[in-house]
Amino acid sequence: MLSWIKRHASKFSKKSDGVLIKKAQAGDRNAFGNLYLKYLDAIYRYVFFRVNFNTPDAEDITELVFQKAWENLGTFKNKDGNFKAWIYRIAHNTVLDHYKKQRTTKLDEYIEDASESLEEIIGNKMKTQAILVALDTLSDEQKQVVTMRFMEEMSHKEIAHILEKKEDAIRALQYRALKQLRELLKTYEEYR
Amino acid sequence: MKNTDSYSDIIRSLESFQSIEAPERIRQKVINHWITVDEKTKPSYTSFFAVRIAVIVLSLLVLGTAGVVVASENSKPGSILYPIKKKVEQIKVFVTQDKAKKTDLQLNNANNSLNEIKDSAKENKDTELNNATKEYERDVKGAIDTAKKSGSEDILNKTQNTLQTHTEKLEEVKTIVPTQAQQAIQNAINASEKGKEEVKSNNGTGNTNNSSNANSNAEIKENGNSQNDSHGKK
Repeated sequence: MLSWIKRHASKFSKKSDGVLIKKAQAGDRNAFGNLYLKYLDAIYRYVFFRVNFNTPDAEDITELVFQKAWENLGTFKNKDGNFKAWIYRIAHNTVLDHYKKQRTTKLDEYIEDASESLEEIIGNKMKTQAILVALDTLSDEQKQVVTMRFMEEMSHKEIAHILEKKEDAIRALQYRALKQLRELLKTYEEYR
Repeated sequence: MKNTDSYSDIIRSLESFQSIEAPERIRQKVINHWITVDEKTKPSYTSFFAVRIAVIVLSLLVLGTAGVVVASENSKPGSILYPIKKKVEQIKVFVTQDKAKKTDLQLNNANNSLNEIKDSAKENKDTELNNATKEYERDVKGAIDTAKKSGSEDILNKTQNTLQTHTEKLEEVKTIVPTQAQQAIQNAINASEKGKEEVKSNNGTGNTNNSSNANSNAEIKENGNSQNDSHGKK
């Protein structure tokens, strides 16, 4: 029971986003720094998968996302929605801007680099490279849904809010993405 | 809408990407650029007190009225109120910030558990004996952790001396309990000894007889508190 209490108490007691945002909006850099650290990994992962596993780009864009968040924090209205959705929306737009400026990507090279570094994390459950290649064949929307749903454990409702779509549309995108991944991985297994 | 069960292997693989983290250099950059020195070093009292307030509120909600809590104080292993008593003990430890007081509380809880071990063993209550032994091991481990974190020689010495007394007490109990209970007692002795050695190596002084410890409120008190009183009357 104590662990239950601790778990819930800690959730309850952590400086909530609301408190931190309010302070950050008043110019408190520490408060924003705490928000930054809280969402850093999630935003980095999201960007990393959107920029075809290009680590330098993922780093630059992640920093840009938080810079934009800091600059536009005044426009965020706490009561209108959660900070998480808002920052993902910034990340989404920043990645789009990145692609507008720089369309070409050396995909193969990045996949090779990324799969080398991720192989250790993922182990032998499935060939990392195959997953990355398969992920890359997904549409941008499918990739976002898969990333947010399975890597960030967001609900369909949250994803729908960020991508400004209906929940059913998110479920459909998720289903089609999984189906496509299944087919591609099956092909990979057959030909390797 | 559509069942994702047939994709569980793919989903598991995707979930494994959750372990990807932003490079450490970005994290350091954020800390250096956004977090001031004061914020980096000062303990988060707001968070700390909020945790404790939340624990107290939740505890009251979960445990019901204060009357139940008070009534549970004299409960014995096997009693319906006994689990509440143990939870109250844990909560008291959790909400105590001062390391010396926290260690005292933990050693006191260990002392209570030790008395429960003794009583359960004498009465051949195997389940209660095993539970009390586990409680004792947990209490000792908690006390050691707190003592080590405190870094205070006094606290470490006090812990070491109290555990020495516990070991002696348990050795004594072991000789008078039925054979089947001896293993549980031995487990408790092992926990006490291991803890003592751990504290000793951490302390480095090897002090086993610090006079300042003589008055430790965590020392074994044969019938020194309500819990012990109830045992003593048997």
